[in-house]
Amino acid sequence: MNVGDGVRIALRAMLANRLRSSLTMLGLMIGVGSVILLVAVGNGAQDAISGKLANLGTRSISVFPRGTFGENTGTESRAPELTRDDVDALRRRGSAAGIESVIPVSMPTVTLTWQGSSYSPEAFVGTTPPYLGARDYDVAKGRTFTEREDVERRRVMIVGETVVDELFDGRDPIGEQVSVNNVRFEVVGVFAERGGEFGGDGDDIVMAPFGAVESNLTGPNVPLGQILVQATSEQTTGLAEREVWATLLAEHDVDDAADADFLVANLGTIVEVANTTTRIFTLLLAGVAGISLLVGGIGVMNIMLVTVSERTREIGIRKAIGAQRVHIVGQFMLEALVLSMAGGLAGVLLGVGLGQLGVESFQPAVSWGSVILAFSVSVLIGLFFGIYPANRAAALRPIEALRYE
Amino acid sequence: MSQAEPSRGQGSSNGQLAERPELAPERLARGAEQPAPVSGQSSGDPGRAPRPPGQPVVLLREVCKTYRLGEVSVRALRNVSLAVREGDLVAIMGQSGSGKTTLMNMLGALDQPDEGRYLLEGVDVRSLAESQLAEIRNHKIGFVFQGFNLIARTPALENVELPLVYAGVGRRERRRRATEALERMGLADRLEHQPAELSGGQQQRVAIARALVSDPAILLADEPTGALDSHTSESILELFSEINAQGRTVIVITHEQQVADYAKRVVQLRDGEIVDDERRVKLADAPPALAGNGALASRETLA
Repeated sequence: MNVGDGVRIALRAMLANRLRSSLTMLGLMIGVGSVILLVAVGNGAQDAISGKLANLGTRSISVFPRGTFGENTGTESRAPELTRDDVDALRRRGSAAGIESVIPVSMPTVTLTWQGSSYSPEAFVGTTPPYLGARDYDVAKGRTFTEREDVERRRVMIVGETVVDELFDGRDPIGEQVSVNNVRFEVVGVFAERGGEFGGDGDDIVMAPFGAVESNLTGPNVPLGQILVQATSEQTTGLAEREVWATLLAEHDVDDAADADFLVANLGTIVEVANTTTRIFTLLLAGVAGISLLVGGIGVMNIMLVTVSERTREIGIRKAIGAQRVHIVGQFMLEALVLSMAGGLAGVLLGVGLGQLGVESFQPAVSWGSVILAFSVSVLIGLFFGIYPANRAAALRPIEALRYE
Repeated sequence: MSQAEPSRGQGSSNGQLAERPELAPERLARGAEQPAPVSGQSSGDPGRAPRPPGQPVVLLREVCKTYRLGEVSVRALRNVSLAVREGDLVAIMGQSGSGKTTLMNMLGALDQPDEGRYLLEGVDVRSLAESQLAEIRNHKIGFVFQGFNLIARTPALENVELPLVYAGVGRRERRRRATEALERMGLADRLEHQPAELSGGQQQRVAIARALVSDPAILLADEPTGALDSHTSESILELFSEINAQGRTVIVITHEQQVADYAKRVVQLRDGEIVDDERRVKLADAPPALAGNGALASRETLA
């Protein structure tokens, strides 16, 4: 008896019970399919998040005032936490400290008015031109503002698509004069669409030169929303981060970093944390899917046990005409194996197929590792859960099996 | 790998034998041209070694078998001694509960005696392991059951091939031998039919072909006509007679009196004991159905 004979016998038995076989395979198919799909979803989420974070640049070091994160440090009476002075102090450190540029970010609350309609964007950002590069902002229409316009405090601004829709009703805003808290700014550019970002609308934004915002909207020495420090390279990010700490602690006259009234975040670290989080998320999804795979395997065992007791008489006949134990074990193991392989293959098709579907900006990424893993696990499960029924079949005593009706 | 010589056996002179029963003793010599013994057994295997005709194929010596059904123990066989010689056609008769099924299981190496010995072609079955028993059933015993016991949804040809599959015979060889066996049963045009597409008589003939395909020492039939109408029963019994005339030892276990008319020897079993053992036709003679006298002989034969 060779494998070919065995497979033929197994296939015949499966075809004889089409409905039952397909339901058993369905269990494994859903198990394997969901492992592949959920791992793909996890990977897709990871790609999406780390892609977005990479947009922000791994050379970026962000400095936030402590109050940004809702901590009341009881320093209201003290000088503003991050100011223009901090920016200047950091600029003086320069490339020796691994710092390429220091970008102040102020975020006043404003109302835009144009031809009688008004709108408050989610973010109104006063900053310097390098911010656009550091945060990967592209201009789809018009132009960006220049260093020179910043220095000259020119009242120009770039708007996002949402602002175009809300304030200009979708019309081309280039060249329009918009009143920002009663100060006129000229629209010079429109940002390329960014979509949803960290729970917010990445297109609901207006950006204007820092100098113009300072002199027209906020006044000098206002608290900054953020200071963005660009390191000269990824390798110097660590050095720059240490320098930022040292400089600002000295500037704020604080001895212990734990008492600092500001926070320093390195985007590389944030990316890593985010990756770890999504990896755990992926593993969790895979674990849940693995349980359904296990349930599918138990289904195989269940059906094989039914098959064995249903075919007790057949087993008796086979033994009476000289089948060895190994023949009977082999026959039922092969049957379990064929079932689980067929179910596994169907699951691979299902998982890979569904993994191609994406929702808007989110695209699941099918990992071939998970395909191979899920398929081999389903086959192993088939083998494992086939062992017991097969041995039970082989252990039947021929006379009892023959007497069985 | 078991019987390597395809030319030997029932096939070659099938028809002539029935007409020339006087040749039967010579045909009984299963000895000299026998191929190599089956695996796991030495070349000195008495079962396959050359030996004179009329040697006991089956030898039971004071066999006892007791079953326990809960608290009650049932003595199914009590000191049964029986010798069946090569070429015999034996009917073992008994009512239900007489122990004939236990005896059948014993003879078929499906069960082991509690006491006493069972020698099949000189091999003590009691000393064998499970795998060796399977081999014995495969090579030395051909089973025919009341319920035909064909594998469902499997064509006749594959059913007949099955013992050869388990014996490890190559695909082409077993196909050839299975086809030959079915042709001898008059089923040449039913090779690809599934059991459900065959009549009872045809199914039983497929079962007989399956029993004979591995060229066993004995053909063991358990109530082979129990599920058949009387006309079909007769044709099956005549088939047994012809198989016997070709030299095969046939043991039929039955409760039907009609079967005894076809046997050379009738053994009566009651309450686990042999109560009567009557030889009706000499061992060397043709079976009653083919003897050319009496009512049985007037019936036309099947082959």
